[in-house]
Amino acid sequence: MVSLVLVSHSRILAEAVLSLVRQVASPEVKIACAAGVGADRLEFGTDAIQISEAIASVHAHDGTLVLMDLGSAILSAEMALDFLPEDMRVEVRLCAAPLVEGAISAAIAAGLGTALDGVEAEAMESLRPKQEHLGSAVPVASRTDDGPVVGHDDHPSVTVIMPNANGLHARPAARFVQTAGQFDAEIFVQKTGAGNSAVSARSLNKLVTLGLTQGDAMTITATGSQAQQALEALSALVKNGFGESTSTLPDPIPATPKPTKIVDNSGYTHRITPIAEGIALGPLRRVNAARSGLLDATSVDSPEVEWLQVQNAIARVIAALRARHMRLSTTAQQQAGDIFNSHQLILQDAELLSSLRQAIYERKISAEQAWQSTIAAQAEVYRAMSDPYLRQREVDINDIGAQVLSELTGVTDNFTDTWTTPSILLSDDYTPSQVAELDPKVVLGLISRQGSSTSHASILARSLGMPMLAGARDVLDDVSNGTCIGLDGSSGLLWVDPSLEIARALTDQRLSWLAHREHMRLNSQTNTVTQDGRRVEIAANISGITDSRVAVANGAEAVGVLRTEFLYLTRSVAPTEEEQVTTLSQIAAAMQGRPVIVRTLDIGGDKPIPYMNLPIEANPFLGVRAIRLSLLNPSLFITQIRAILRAGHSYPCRILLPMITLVEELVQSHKLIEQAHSQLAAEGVAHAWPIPIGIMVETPAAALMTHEFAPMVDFFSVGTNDLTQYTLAAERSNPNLGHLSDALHPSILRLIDIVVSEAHALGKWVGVCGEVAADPVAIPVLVGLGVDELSMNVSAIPQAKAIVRRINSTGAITLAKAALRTDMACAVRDLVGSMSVVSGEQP
Amino acid sequence: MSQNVITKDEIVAWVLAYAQAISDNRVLLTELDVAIGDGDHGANMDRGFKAVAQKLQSGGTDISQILKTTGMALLSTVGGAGGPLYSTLFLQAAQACAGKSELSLQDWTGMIDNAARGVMARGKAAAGDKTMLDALLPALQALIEASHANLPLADALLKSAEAAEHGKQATIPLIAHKGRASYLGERSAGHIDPGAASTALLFLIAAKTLAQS
Repeated sequence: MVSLVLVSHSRILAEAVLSLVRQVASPEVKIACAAGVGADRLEFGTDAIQISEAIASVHAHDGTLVLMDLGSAILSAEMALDFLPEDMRVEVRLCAAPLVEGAISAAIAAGLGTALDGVEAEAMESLRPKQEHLGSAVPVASRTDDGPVVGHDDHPSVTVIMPNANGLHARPAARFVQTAGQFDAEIFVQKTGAGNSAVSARSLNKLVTLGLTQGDAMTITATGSQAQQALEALSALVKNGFGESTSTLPDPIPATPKPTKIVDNSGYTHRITPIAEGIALGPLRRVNAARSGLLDATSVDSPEVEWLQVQNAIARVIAALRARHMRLSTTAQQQAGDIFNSHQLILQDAELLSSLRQAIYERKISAEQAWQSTIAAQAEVYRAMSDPYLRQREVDINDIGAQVLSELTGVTDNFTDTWTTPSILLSDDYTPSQVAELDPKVVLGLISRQGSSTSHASILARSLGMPMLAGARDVLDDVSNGTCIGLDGSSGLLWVDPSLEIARALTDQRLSWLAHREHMRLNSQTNTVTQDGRRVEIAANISGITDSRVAVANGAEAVGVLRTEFLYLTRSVAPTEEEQVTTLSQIAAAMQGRPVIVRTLDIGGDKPIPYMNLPIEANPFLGVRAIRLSLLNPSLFITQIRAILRAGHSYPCRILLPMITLVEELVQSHKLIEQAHSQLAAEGVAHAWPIPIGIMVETPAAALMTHEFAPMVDFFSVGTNDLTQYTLAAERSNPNLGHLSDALHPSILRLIDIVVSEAHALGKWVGVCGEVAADPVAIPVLVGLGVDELSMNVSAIPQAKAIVRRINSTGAITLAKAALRTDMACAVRDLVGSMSVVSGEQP
Repeated sequence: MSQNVITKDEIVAWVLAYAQAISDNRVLLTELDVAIGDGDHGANMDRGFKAVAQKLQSGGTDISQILKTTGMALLSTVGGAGGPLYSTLFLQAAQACAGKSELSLQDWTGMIDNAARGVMARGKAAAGDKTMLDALLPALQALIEASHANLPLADALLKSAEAAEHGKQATIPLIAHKGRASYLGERSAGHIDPGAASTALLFLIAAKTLAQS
């Protein structure tokens, strides 16, 4: 493999170029820097001796390419050659390419095993994409001789759509070149459309000059013995967005990104927030149109009449909510029913009613206006909250607001209208019950103007297999009902009136997605073992009865985490022990004998619980939360433990303690659990004893103390979302800290490695239950680290099972060892891409 | 009465005196470089020759070795283009006088000739490109003429110093074709080339320190 040396006047510049290069190039390429002079080499200048030493440090017989900036760098590099032994000197080439562009192109080519001449040629070509992009007058060699014209029947080919927001820029192109390089095949890529020529997939520069932007179709053609495998791998790479998103699940970043708009010759393409994966193509249909703009302010004469009107409207809505609540309580949708119950509480809120009354009597405005402004103010309060969970309450408020307004104005929403043409729905937002009531036969996909991916509605959309996008804002406002819409719920792409070509490609993708979904579902009903027989349990993270049914349907082998917060929120008094026993038993019964790990209450001062009077904390995530809260409220904790022990009498329940940091906390928890047991025993109430107890590993402290915790627990569950936050000291929802939220950072992997090895040494098993557990890139690494259980969102289960079944666990161990030695998360992702431990067909 | 040879100790004295002169003229050289380059020639040369002076504290075994030590020290300390170029000058000089314990005018001339060839090859520059060669080549020419005329060594050194100084002054109207100054194009005209200035200084110090005993 060819090595590289980067020569610059500035050490900082050289090191920055090196990090840029490391992002795209194989970690196996040896690269040395020679830059700067003086103390710590922080002064500008070059040093021929340092250059010659740098060359000698990385040189191998395949040759070394030296890239440099300007002036003395050139002279010093030339001079450095004089100090090399003759046999080495002939294998070293000084390259005239521009430093930054040249280094990136050269490193990628070197990583593919290209010979010195080829690496140099790639570097020399590296300015071309920039020159072509900026329209500089440079002679451009004809590219038509690169490959066969795509579309020849005799070469296998595949057409895919570019999902990435920034198009095929250097990083995705580099991944493409690397993937293509793994196969024995000649591969060519062509931007779909007349007159476009094909370029070789071995050349980064040529791929970039294709100018593929988001939504463009590209055709990949391959010849050679591994043509078919190469096409499968490459189309999977493209469809997965070149691994640029950290997960196949949408990021739960609540800040709705601004829709970006791209104009190309196939109509308009927008990119908005992806919520639920899948492809849909069909006519647009607006629902919930009753929510109109603000009414004009008109003065009214009789506030008494207005007040009476609004009270009547509220009463009618409450009656309707009660009816729905009753209906849903008798079905599987207990959780959705509970949400309606909380809607009812909003309408009976004394403060809301008092400000409504004040608006009518003091500002003398109409019932409609008063209601709108009161609801808007209430919604604003929630919108301004920092916690994403609470911000979503805005949806509930607006939903209630719209219902009362319909009653007041007589304009009803058309959400429950019936229609027969399968359509793509557009609404401001969706409540869980609205989604749950949708008929999948006539709903192809969902688009919301607002919304974020952690809302309950999106979980349901995923479970029901309805592709969904959110945050469309006004991009569809001028599009008439019935217009053909295409959407890709994985990438967030939205096509308005797509061209025939795009529509055909989307239809193909939809069919293969549906087939894949069905295949996964059928395949997911048996226990998961790796290709070479290692058992990895695939479990579900759930928070209610609805989830548990979907979990079973999708092949969950257990409930890895049953979140119990829903039992405590949106209500005015604490749930009773009886109520908890009933709910837990219902969920456990739905799991049909599979183990259910019940996590005790995991909330803090960021969520208002009226009956607990929690203090407002400056740093809720570093405050009294989870087990800390439970230990400060022992009676609340004991009630929950009693409920779990009682449900455990009939079903295989286990206890999971969240955010354990200190050994003392675990000791104290054990005492309270034993106290609950003694009470039940004394009362003669049937309950499970002993019961398996595990702890969440969410703090670095807990991970580092695994050895001390292990004798006192039956299992560990690593909560990678919080562990990442606490290790990298970055709040997940902060949009400026996205680079600090990758759970594949080696620091997190090293902590998991400690947990697994110390837990296994004492015979305890380890699960991982953060989002990373469902990340196709992360799964081989986690399996390689020895993780025994992966627990995830119910919709991710089929894919995760399919991936684990194709893993070679020996290879995964090697991969994990290499991953532990990297220095950044993207290097880990690169490794997974370059070491194929997942065999066979792509998911 | 001056001698007609240059001794080993004089070579050390020359290099040390040059180091001192660079230090004294550091601001001047930097000002020249600020006008048409990146303003670091004075600082770079001073850093390099301070390192050289350090190395030559204990003298040296022979002339060639002293010059080689100088060249090698410059290489990793100067930083700018002056590093490889002055380093080449001294290393090529060292090569030309290998094994000699003292230098005649012919030896010195041959040594400067070899040095100038090295610098031309390294910098790929020619006379009139507004570089150090515009001082170095006239100095060499003067030495060759003095050598043919069999002038006393001290006179020859003086003539070469004058020729280098003339060459340096002659760089004022030139337009730079090499190095950072070439980016300025025509705007580089009207200034002395800093490389020619430091080279002229090298020959001036030679005339003052060599063939004196």
